[in-house]
Amino acid sequence: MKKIKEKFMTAFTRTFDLPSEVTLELPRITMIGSIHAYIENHQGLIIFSSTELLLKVHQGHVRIKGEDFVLKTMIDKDILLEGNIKDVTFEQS
Amino acid sequence: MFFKRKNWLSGYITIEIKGQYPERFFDLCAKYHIPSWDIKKKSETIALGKIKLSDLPKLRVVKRKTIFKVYFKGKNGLPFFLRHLLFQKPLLIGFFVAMAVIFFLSNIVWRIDVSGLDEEIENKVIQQLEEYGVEEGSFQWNIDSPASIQKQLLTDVPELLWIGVKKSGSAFHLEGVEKTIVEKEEEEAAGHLVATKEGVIEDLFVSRGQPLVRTNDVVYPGDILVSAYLNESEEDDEEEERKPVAAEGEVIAKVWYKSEVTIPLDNQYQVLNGKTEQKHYLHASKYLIPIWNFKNPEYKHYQVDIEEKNFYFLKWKLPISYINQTIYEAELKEEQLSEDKAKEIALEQGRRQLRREIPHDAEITDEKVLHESVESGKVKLTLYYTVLENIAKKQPITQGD
Repeated sequence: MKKIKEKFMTAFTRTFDLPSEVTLELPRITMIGSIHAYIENHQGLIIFSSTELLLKVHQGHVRIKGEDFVLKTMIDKDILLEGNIKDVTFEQS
Repeated sequence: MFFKRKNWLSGYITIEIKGQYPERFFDLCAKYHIPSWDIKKKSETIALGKIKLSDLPKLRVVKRKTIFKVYFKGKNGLPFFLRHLLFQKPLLIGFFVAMAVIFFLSNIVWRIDVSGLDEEIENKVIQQLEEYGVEEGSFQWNIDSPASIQKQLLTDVPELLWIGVKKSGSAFHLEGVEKTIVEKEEEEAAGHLVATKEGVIEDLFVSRGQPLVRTNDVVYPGDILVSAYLNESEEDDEEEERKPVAAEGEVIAKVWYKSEVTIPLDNQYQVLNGKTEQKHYLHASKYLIPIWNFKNPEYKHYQVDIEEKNFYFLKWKLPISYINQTIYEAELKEEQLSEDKAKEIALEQGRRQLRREIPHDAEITDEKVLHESVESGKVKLTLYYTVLENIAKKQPITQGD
């Protein structure tokens, strides 16, 4: 049932050319070079340290690795990460 | 940047979270709509972050649901800065001392300008002002109002025809007009002497000009008494044009005055018996705050004199003023006059009224009671006076006549 709904939403988004992060509850990650990462629409912070950030997103996790991490702002569903970003990985679950 | 500045105005706190996975506390904060920023992890169990001062109550709610320990590390922003200032005693004292000094200096007379007067009279005016306590450097609250200074100056310096006293902030501007200047100007203008009142000429003292009337002539207001043209009647028209002179002289005439005086037989009047009570108030907008002498005197009849003094701060008038109230006890006196006595008083009053109307050097030669009646408790007298007075008035000749 859940799979069918998801497939339908993907098709719906493609046909009407809607922004996918809205309809599919996917995270939107904006990066400025390797110094800023702006993550919207995440579903919770799991781990944060000066070298690693792990966020729960729809259907998995986002892991960002680097150095000197500071969370510049943290509002409800948005996070602005500052630091020396080296690696962004998606982990499906 | 703007986000930060706004937070500085409303104040923000740095908090330290201790516990396992301290970053999750901030995640929880975000879920409860408490924005946080500058989150750093110091070690495995310690994280630092900043939140708004106004979110503190919400933070307490969140804290109660977790096992994390929250420590307040730093307080920044305007509210804390202001509170910090309050505890800086020297700064506060300095501020109040400065305010007090400005306040005192604002209430001092800094400058007195006198304009429009000769040096001699100007000095006299300044001397008089010093006597009233108006000097450069004296306090304004010891000084009467400009209007009363003006009145006093006019009576104390007889050379003044008029003086205007204006107070603007901490400076007094005086503008005077001398009597002598005006008279000089008048003398130079050529003109006739004309009668101001109806009367019979008694005496003529003409020092310049051609008299047109003789003793025992009856004159009416506007009649020319002494002409500015000499040798009026002769036929010197062919000669060069006659120049009018400024006629000068005195024309003493008998003038009659009629006046009516009524005096009530029952008299009721208040007399101040000399007992006074001084009360001091501070006056702020509508309120009178007594500061000295709280008791109300038990006077049955009284008169109240109010003196108000304003305070200034720089050029602004403060809404507070000082009021000195003097209460005079009065006694009500009733008097039943006999008719003779009333008549006597009426005569005196009539004479006093007349004196006010006629010039100083006039002489009352005769006084007659034309009619006398007593009506509904009042004595009514019709008086008739004969007065010898100077009725001549200068009337300048307009050019081109």
